[in-house]
Amino acid sequence: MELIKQIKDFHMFERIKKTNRFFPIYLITCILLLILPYYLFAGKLYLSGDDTRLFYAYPFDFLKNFTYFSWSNNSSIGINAANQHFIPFLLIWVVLDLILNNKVILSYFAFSLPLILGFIYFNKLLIELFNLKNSYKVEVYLGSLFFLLSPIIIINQMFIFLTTMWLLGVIPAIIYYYIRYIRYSNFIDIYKPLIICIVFATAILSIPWIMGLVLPLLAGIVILILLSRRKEILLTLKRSIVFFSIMILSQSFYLIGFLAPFFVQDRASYAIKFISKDFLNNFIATVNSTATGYIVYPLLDLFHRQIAFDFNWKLMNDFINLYDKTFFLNLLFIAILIIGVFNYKRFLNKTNRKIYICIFTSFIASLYLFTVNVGPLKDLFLLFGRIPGFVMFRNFYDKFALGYTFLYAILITVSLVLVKKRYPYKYHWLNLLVFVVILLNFSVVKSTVTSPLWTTNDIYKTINIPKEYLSFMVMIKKDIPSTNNILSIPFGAASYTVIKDENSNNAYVGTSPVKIFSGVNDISGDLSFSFSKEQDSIDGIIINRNYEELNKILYSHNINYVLVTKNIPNEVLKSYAFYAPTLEKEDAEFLHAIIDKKILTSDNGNYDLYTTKNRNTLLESPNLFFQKINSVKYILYLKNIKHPQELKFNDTFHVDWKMYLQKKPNLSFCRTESIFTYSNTTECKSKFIFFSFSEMSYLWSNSIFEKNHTILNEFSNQWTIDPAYVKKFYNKDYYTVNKDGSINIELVLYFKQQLYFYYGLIITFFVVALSTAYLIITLYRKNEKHN
Amino acid sequence: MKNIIKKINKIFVNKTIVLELIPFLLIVFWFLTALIFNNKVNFSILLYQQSKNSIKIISDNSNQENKITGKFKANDDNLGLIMFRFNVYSPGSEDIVTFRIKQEGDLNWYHADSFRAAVLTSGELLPMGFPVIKASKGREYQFEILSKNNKVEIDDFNFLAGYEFSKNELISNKGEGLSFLLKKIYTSFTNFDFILSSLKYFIPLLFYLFFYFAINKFKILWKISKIEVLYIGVPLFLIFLDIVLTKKFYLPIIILLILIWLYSFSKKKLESKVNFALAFILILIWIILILFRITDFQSKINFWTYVFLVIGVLTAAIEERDVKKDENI
Repeated sequence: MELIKQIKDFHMFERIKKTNRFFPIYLITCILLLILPYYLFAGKLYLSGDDTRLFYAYPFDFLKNFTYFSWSNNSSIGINAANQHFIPFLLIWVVLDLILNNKVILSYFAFSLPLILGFIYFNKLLIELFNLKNSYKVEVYLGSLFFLLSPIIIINQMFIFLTTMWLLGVIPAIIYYYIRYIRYSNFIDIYKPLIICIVFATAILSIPWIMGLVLPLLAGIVILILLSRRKEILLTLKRSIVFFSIMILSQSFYLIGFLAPFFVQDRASYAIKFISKDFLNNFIATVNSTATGYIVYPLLDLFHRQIAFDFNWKLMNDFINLYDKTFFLNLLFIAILIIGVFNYKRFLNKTNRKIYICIFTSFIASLYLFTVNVGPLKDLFLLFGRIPGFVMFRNFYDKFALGYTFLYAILITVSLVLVKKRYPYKYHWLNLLVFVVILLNFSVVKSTVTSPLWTTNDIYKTINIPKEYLSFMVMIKKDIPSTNNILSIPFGAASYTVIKDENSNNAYVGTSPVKIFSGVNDISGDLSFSFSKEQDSIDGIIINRNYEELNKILYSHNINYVLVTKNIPNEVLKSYAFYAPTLEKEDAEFLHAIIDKKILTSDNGNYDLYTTKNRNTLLESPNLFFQKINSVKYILYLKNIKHPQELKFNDTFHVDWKMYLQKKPNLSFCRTESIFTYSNTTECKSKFIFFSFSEMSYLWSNSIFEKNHTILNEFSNQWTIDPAYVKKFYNKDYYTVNKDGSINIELVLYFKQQLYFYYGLIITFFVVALSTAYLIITLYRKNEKHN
Repeated sequence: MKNIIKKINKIFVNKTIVLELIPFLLIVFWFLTALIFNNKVNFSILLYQQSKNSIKIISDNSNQENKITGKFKANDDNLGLIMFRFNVYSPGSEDIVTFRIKQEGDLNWYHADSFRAAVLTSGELLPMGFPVIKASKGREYQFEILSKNNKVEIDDFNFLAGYEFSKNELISNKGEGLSFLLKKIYTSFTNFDFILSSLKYFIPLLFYLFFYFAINKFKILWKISKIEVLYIGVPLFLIFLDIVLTKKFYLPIIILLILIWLYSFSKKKLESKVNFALAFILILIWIILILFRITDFQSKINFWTYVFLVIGVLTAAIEERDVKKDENI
């Protein structure tokens, strides 16, 4: 019974319903948040940007082609990036996709859900944190609206709509359960956030934004420790260790793979970026150019005005048209804050006073970190840049914004409660005014979120992906093996591609989704060459019409096809998405120099696919047969090896690409379905398998030819296959001998870091299983005791 | 002197005066000052909001020329200007924008004028003036805005038509004057942009309410008046000098001033909230200076506001610790 009751209790609205007269208002607010994207995007998908947001509409494509593997090449050359944090969420979204069968509703739900979760959990958190009575529901409600509808959140989260937006719901939820666990030590308060952390692991991985809250909180916690008794501190510390240990262990399925690149540093790891000297120099330059705002605007609950004007953001117009005229109304928030400070001693009890001072200290720290430009303290922030990892805060106005608003909203709520206590007969008007000012500030949401693409006037980012594009992707998927790379033309300034809407000039302008839809990677801009020298040289090569060099690059990077998009609106071509001098040279002469023949055309002729002049294969060696299993695994068969020979793997070099010699070599995998032969290398039809148990043994198995693994063309992998070595160190089970004395061997080429995902997954599974078992036992015992 | 104070006290004890009469007068003040000073045009001009449906954009690609055409029916006589909010996408461009207007059906343009696109970048409503058309009421007018290279557009298709009346006529003819005043009130307060920009005249009421509650209820002034000027006044005056006289941050001076303030603060055993009050006052000063477009002291006020907030919160923590000790005793 207790278990059922607890499960019921998990239902978000249940407790609110029981104790809250405001349930209809809460419900209406949630419905309004649910329909907000319908108002904002008017029936079209809100896509584009660095992370595409396609996963909200096409979860299965994303899961299969991008998320599962630790070796990733989504509009880029191959890099080591563990993206498995997305899997639990995508699995749920796949199910929802099947149920709803409507991409628009599905992606709109993804926009609303973090806001709804944020609204519910921020309410619960405030009530729990200060143990507030039901009579303060209005103030708590206003505080929640202050948090979610803040102009800072509009520009920082809703406008960009990255996965960090889930933090709006996840942060209040985790803190709420943490506080409950510290206070009551019920295991259910660990179990619920455990599930939340797994489902929204992608938000948990938004480390810079989480640290943007944790760093200021540390300042407050120091004060809290000074104000607390030793016994209280020890108990909190003990329970905190239990709580966070379980949370961290539950994240093992992606966390090990995420942390590994920091230890196995390789030039094809994203981790190298955060510890490079360039990144530090970039930190100082970025901070100096953006730390121009003052603390007053954040205190008025507005984003830094100066930054918006310096960088010509759309927010600039919002200031001109609204905030510049109404900003003094926002003085109300500072006035409420001051009334709170003047009265907290009188009206708060001892525990709440301590929490209040802790939050206030954190808020002041957060105000500095969100602004940086506080006289000489700016230099202090630049000095922090020397702390390893601190460079992640180079966009401080972005990373600390969420934490700042969160802390400010807590303070405003408590201050509203104090106003009510101080002026029990007059507070209604103030609450009404606060409500009006919050709504007034939020009124710019549509013009901000759906503003035109940067540097354009009329190109909006809400589109429905045209059927023509999707069917063309199906054609590519069918005809082009996923072992190839495609060059997308026009060549972008980042790794962006452009997809024009069917019925308007609206466009998707974001990371190219060719891989997501077709399974074949494309190189769509200079940033697609991350970590390689071509990133800096490719534009110059095109501008100087150095086609010999360009064809060499295409060959060495295994780029065997060229995709030409012909319906990109003129305004987009002139936008920041393309570098004008490069674009100018991408003319008929350019195409003629790199393409061979047209092999595919889309239904309306807006997309063409050509082959390149010089063809290459992903793997290359004399008498080689290979088959792609998935992004991290290839089966290789080499026959008639008499002398040492080179094996080239034309993907980015990484030390963890390992080769494992197989027992009883045979070519059965390629007997009937070879699809391409070039330069004595045969590519066999790929057979996609997510996982096989034999892979687990690669963790302890010895790989072969490790010492011969070298970098080819400053980019890719090369091994020297030495038959004498095989004969000397392996028994005859591992090779077959031909009449001329040559041998045949079978190898598995495997990206070892994928194993971290599997072993991490086992840890996560055990943590969840043990937690579930412990929870059931605890509840059962409780029930027995109760009876 | 005591009598004067007593009389003032009597006034401020009377709740009808304090909570009804003075706020009412301040609302009237907001109303009148908004009408007289807030207008972007002379008081004698009536501005009518025009329907956005009456404008359409025609892009003439052959000449690379962007043309915005519109027509509207005049609401009154004395049509003399139209106001637009422009979007200029390449600030600093040398593009020329041409505005012209005529009565619909006329062959020739009544008036034409040209502007540099760069002067239209303020984001504010800007007037396009022309000689007053005396008998305009009920007639339809057509206008065009021409720009090259698609660089200039009208924001939200939102525009106002202005009707300029003679001040002498309005003063001499009381009936017409009253009718004008009523129209003025109606047209102004039905214009959202006007209401927004007039909110700054609302500040006195806001200040009044704040000081009424803050001073009367918290009795801040009473407490401050008891504080010895030497201890509190001198450090604050030095900080004031630092804000006003030096634009750069001299770290030794700043540290010295902070130490002096901390010494005075602890010596006089002031409460932490004094720091918060000082921070709030500095924010108010910052905002008032911004209203007058004075930006010279922003950086320093910004810094000292933050310093007072930090000292405030740290002293609040110390006070809380002392309370705990007292309780233990």
